[in-house]
Amino acid sequence: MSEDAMQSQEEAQRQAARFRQLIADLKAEVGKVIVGMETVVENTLIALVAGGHVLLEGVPGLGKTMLVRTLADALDLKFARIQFTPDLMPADITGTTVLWEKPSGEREFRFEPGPIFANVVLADEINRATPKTQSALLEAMQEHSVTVAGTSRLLEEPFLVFATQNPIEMEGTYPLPEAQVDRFLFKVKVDYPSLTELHEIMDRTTGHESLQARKVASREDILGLGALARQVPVADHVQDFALRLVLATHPDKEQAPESVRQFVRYGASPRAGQALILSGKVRALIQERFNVAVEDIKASAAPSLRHRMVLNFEGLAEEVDPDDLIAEATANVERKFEQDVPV
Amino acid sequence: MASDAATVVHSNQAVTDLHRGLGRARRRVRLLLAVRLATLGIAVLAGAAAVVVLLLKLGDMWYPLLLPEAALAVVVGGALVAALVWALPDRTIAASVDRRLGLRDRLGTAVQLTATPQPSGMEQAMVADALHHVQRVRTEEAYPLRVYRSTKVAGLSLVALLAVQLLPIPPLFLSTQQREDKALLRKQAANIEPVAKKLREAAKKAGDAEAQRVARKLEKLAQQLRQGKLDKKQALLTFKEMEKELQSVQDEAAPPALKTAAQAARELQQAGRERLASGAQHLAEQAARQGDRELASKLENMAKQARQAERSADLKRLGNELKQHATKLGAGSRLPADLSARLSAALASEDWEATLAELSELDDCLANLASELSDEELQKLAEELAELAEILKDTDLEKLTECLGDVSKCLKAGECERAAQCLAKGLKECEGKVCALKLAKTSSEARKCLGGCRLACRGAGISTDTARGGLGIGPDRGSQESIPPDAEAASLYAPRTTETSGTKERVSTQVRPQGEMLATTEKGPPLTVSESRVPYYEVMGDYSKAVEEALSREEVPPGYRGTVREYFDALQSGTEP
Repeated sequence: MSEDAMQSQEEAQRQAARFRQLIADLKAEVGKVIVGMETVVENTLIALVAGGHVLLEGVPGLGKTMLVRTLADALDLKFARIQFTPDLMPADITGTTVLWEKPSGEREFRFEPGPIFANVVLADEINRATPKTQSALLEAMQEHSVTVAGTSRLLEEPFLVFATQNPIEMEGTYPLPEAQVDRFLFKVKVDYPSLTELHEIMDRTTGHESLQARKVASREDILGLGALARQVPVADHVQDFALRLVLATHPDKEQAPESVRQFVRYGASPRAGQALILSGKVRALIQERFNVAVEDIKASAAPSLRHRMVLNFEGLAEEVDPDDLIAEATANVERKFEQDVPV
Repeated sequence: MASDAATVVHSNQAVTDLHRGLGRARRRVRLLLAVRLATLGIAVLAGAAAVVVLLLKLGDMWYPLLLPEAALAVVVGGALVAALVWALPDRTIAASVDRRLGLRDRLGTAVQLTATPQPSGMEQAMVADALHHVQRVRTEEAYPLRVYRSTKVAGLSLVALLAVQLLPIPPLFLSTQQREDKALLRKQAANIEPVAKKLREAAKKAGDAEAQRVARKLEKLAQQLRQGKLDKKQALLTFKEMEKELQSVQDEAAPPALKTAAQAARELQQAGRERLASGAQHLAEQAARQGDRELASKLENMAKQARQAERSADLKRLGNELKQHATKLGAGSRLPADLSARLSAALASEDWEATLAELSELDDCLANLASELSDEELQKLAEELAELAEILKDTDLEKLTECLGDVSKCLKAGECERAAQCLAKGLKECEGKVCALKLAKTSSEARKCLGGCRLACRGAGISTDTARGGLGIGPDRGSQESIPPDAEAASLYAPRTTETSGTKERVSTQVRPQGEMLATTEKGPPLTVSESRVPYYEVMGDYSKAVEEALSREEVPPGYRGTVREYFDALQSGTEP
């Protein structure tokens, strides 16, 4: 029996309560600065707890960078921001070996870590960098290590990349390669705020007061939250639903709806399944449950799957929204999945 | 480890509670499942049955009346069994309750986790959470009793089926033949209703519960016929069934006696004839002795008439005349002179009440004139009553035999008052028997009425009135008012009417309980013969079988056997011989 399994029921309940309290505190601190964006904030926090990276997509000025910065402020973690530009080189991210002269006059090569060596990395406008530079993040994002000059260096846990990108300004941008996109747990769309939210934003940002989040969670807290979330049990039928949903994004699978068959070239990878289950676990704890529900999977479906579906030419030409395909695939799976008693 | 063991025990208790909670939901699901399956089955079956019954009724085809209801009962039973054996594992029920009450897969996950041998703290917390929710589950909320579409359809189908079964088909949808049949059945209803009412009264008087039930059934039958709820074939079957029940009531009320009332009446009439003739002869001699030759001659003539009298009315008349002459000659009696005649008339018509009434009148007479009657009168009456007692032996009124014997003895001993008391007691004892006899007679009449109705409905070409009289002998034609039990078979091939140029004569044919049956036979070739209304196919089988049996028994002469066989072969093949 593992140590986790040894925990008593009361201990689990206490930890769950602590979990919810921390999340609530984080939300409250982020909410001090960020107006609205409840879904975005929640998904970001879920990814934070699940230890996954987030790709925030939205037009400029919606507060994507501000959100990540605020979140970093609320966390007692090492934060780094990388502004991606076309001339950014991989070494600018990972760091490089430099010739360093000791006070004794002796010189040696010494590794100077790049901004990637942080707990929370903000990759701002990630699609502005060349694919070569973007690829510098591949190893770090998946294996949480960086290899420079033949030497691999582990990154400190937690390691989280929050990348932003602008979906409309395509001039001088480089679309992220599929391999890299797949490494993001969520792709979160940041929508334009409502009128009420805009009023609130104006009030907060045009006055004398400068709000800042206080630190409410330490590195150990975040790691503890992640460990606790992984203990949440998942019923077979819920996992089955998640995996059927993943398969439903593949045009050649029987679970796929007609629209997926028509507009999708490649479906989501197994990482999508991991994302659905893991995010489902975190969401369950946030919602005061000790089990993952189908509703959790459905709630995570769009952010987990939308960036993992590769549209075919027809889909691109028709400007098909992957969210619509996901909704249809979800409904299709749900229809076949939910067989109730006939009364 | 102690705490670990404790948590596992706690988990087991939680598991038990969880299964108990799901058990409640399962029972509710089975109930609703039974309702749903039953309504579904009823909707389909009742709808189909309504259509089939309607078609059968329109086609005037017979079907067992309660067959659709029996089939529906089987369907309901099947639904109950199916609901009981329907596989409803915990996992299915848990997932269903989760979905219906928005429990976010709590129960489904918990059911799966209960199979975990060493649950972790998180898993135990999960099961505890599920248990917390399952205890608050109200199965009525999860599985409300809804009116399904199938329930509505089942209701409509049932209403349609009952309407088709119970309500008469509007004449618009009936053929001319069917309308005629309905009218015929209504006519039979009019015949049955008074008989049923009479039977009910007789049964009530006799205190016979079974007879009362049969009477009610008969009244209901008449009502159904009047309302057109039965078709011809159903009516025929019901008639047959009712006839059997009435026969049973009749047999139960009064088992057949060795001697019929008609035989007793004849014997009594014969005795009365002889007594009257003897009395007249005695008075004639007395008148001759007094020198009144004219009266003596008249009385001798009366004695002759008395011996030849066949009717009770003639005997009554002669008895009264004789009494007047006896008074003139000073030998008058205050006792009734026509007792035998009146009793025989009452017995001949099987009017048991009238028979008792006659004897009751005699009893009054004895009680009133006890001190005034002469020994000679008492002796004569004693002889007459002893004779009556002897005649009533082996009849339905055998109970009176002993009483009348005692009365006779008392009268012979000159104890007139005691004789009156004895007779009164005997008559009282017979009242119950008379009620039973009346019930038996009424049952017999009802059975005959139904037989007539059956004949009329089978289209034998005999009108109801004629059928009542049997074999063309209606009340207007002769004194016989009942039909013989085998009249039905005979009437099937009997022509309705025959016109004849020959003469008619009465011939005695057979002896029946009521006496000799008189039949009118017509001689000479018929001028025209109306068609039989019975289709050949209905009687062909019986007749062919009878013919085969006759041929096998060599009852048909060898020279005719071939002809007979050819004739029936031709009939069976539908061609004229």
